[in-house]
Amino acid sequence: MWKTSSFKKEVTKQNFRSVGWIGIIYLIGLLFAMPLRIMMELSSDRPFQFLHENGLFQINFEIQQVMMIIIPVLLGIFLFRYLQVKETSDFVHSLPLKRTELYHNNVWNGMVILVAPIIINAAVMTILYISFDLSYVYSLEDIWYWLGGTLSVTLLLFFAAVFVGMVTGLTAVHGVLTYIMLLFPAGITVLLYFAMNQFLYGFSENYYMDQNLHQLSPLVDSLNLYNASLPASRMYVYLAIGAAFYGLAWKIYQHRNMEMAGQAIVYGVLRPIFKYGLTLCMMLVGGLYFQNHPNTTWIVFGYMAGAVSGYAIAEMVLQKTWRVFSAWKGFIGYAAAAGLVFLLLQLDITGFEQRVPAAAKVDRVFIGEGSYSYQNNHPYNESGYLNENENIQAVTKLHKQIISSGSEEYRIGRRNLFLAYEMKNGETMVREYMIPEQDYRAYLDPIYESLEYKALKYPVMKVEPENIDRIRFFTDYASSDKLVVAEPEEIETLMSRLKQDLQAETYEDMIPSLGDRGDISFLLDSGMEVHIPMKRSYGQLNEWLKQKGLYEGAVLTDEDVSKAVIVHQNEPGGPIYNEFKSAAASNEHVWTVKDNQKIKLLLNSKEYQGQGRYFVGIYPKGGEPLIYRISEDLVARVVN
Amino acid sequence: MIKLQEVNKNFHKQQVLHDITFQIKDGSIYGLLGSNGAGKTTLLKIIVGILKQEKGSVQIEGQKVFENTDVKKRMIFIPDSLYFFPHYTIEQMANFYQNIYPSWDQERFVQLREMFGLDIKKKVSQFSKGMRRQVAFWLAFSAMPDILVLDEPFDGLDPVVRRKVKNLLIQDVADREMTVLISSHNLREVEDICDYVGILHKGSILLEKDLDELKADIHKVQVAFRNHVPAALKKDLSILHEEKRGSVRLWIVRGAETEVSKLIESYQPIVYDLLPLTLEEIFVYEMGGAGYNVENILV
Repeated sequence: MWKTSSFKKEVTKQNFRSVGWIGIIYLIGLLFAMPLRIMMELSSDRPFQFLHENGLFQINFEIQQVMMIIIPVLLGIFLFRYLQVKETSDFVHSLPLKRTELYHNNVWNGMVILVAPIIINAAVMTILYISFDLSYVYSLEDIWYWLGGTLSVTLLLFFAAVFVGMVTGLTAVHGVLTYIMLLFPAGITVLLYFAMNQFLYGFSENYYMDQNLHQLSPLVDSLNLYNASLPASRMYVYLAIGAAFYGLAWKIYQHRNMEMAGQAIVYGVLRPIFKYGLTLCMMLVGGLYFQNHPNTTWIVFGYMAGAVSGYAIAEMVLQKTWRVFSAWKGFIGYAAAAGLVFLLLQLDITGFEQRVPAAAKVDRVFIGEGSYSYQNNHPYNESGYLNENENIQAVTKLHKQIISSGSEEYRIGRRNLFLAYEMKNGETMVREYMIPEQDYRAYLDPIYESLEYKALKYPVMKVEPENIDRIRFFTDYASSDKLVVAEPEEIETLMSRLKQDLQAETYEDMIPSLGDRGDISFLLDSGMEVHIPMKRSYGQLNEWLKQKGLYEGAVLTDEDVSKAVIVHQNEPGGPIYNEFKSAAASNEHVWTVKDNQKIKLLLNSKEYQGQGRYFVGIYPKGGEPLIYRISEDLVARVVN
Repeated sequence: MIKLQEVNKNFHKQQVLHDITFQIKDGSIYGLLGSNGAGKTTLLKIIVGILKQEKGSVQIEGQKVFENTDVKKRMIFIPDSLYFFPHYTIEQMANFYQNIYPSWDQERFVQLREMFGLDIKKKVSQFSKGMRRQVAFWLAFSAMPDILVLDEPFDGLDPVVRRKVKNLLIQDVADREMTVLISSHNLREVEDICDYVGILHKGSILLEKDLDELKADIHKVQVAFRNHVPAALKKDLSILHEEKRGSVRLWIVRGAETEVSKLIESYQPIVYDLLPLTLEEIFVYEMGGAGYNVENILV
């Protein structure tokens, strides 16, 4: 290590003279953002605007965050600017100071400039806490968390900037490259997932994307400080990475050639990494730009244009001129390598696209609409794991059919299908497809109509009637107080009829009709509440409800509806309610339906959400309209 | 003693210095001459330890210079483009030097203040180019270095100041055996103070000379004989260059002065003059023989 005596007083003085202002700005910023804000709140009669359990980052988080991201990098840039300017570099390195001494002098001066405002601010917050007894606003632990979070993130960013400063010889590149480096791991991962999604049929980009990607970039991750969800362990990791940057920068400073001041990348070995790294990133961005274009030619064009521009930009930065036309040789090599990789992906050499696990090897399979419910699995989810052999076989059969049909052009009526096989050997295999549902009914129906799936979809099927305290029917249009079944005998009858209905329910009937707008709620004696949607298709149950005189209240019938208004969509966008209102007010393409038969037709129709250019508003008597998007086909049947 | 051995340096795979080998004796003033782009500045930056050579060694008193503070403490480099910390006054710069260079002599700093006559409370950046150069010399002389390395040092100095600085240089060399290395593209600028000169051309040392020896060794001779020029004399003399002006011959002759005079006078010339040569002329004749066109090497 270094000796304290090697710290040169005048070098330190010079550092404070040239970069001390950054620390002062940071201190003033922090004091204004936090203690002064608290004082302001204290002096007013209003209650405090933030909750203490969320921590100190809640106070003016935007200001704190912006400073946290800008200040340390700015400090690193200014402290080591002497390396990037030839005159300064020559002067400083002609002095009788070892690079090690210079480095430690600068870094430790920088740390003092960075850390002092943070500690002073924490001290002021503590003094405020004690002198005004602010325990109802925040706790001392909050101050520690704030201190730890702020220190770990700012120090990591500072050392990242110091490290990049050693690698580059241009101040502008220094700043840009620091942030790129901090975003790179997350960014390249996202871009690669997007590319895989384009090339590999069945790749579930969402599944991988949801897997804590934010951890790959401290810039994104630091947003988690807002609700105090950045764990202390991560702070230690950040400090450790910061320390690694510190050591690495120290080592490479020893080998820096000072004549390279003014060059974008100082070390020869890093130049190709920079060049081809940028080419790769830009290529993936180019492909992403045309991501949803059905025509492959455009996607290929996107990749090529991206690669060419990335390569050209890298060459321009390295050569510091825009006339880089002669440097095409490296690009040919890159293009050949990239082409080969794409070819291998396209040929699917790993067999990714064709792979369907043998049913016998599958322990259980998850089937759902997307990765979200898989990753956030909770017991009363609409979808879940299927364990039964028949169902596993049915899923693999469906899967094989999807693969053999291949990816289809975009068309209306597709839905997302997410599959996750958990194998007996512990491996997991995840796939995601967009399928035109109607084409796969023969494969989907056996799965969705299986009792095992229904038990997952309707957890209430597993509930014994004696464990139910009360059953209530909720609707938006009728008071629910009267729609209660609480007698044990009645509960038993209701449950047995409902279970029969559910067991017999076809896949078609699982989708609620337009008129189905209510819920059945089961209050268990454990205190838990389970819901299922109330549907007009429950034959047995509705028969019984009619006998009990509850049907009228629980189900919206044509009798309850005053009118239905059908409108043509004007301008897409905005909440559906506003769109409907503005279209209904326009007096063009507006049809009012009052005929009971037609209203009944509407109420019984099944429509998939989000399709068609028409809206229908069904007005229950004395209530707000229920608004749906409906297809032209249905409109034609109702309006004539 | 500054000793360079087979120093090589490349920029971007392009060779800038090629096998540079030479020595500078303590207490001497060495002039490094060469045209723009010859590699002078790069060579100086290697000697003072800013840049690192790819091959070869640079040693001062037997120690390497690069990253060696013991050597660098005794050495000051005044670059072609000067640098002072922004917003620093002369006094603040002096404090900085005092902290960095253990040999700093505050008395001398105060004493030189009268000579340079600049306000020490004023920011260096507010001075003119020539005044900033004076500040650089002032600080350098006050630090009492054993070795002073100067890159194109007299650019922008008026003749009076130039004389003063040269006198200070010579005085320090004489008083305390300071060693000075000066680079210049202009021979005339340094010929009055240098003991040795080396010519750097396209990254290589073309020639190296002791100036006193050089001046003693080459002579311009005007001579005329009654009849024809004795062939035996021309054979015995080492004539580098000959011009005819009527019956008068102008010769550039190599050899000790006394011997040349004795030999020529033994043929009883009707006219005989031995004239002094400027350093530039010496180089023109010396190097013209080696196949170089001096005008292209020294501007």
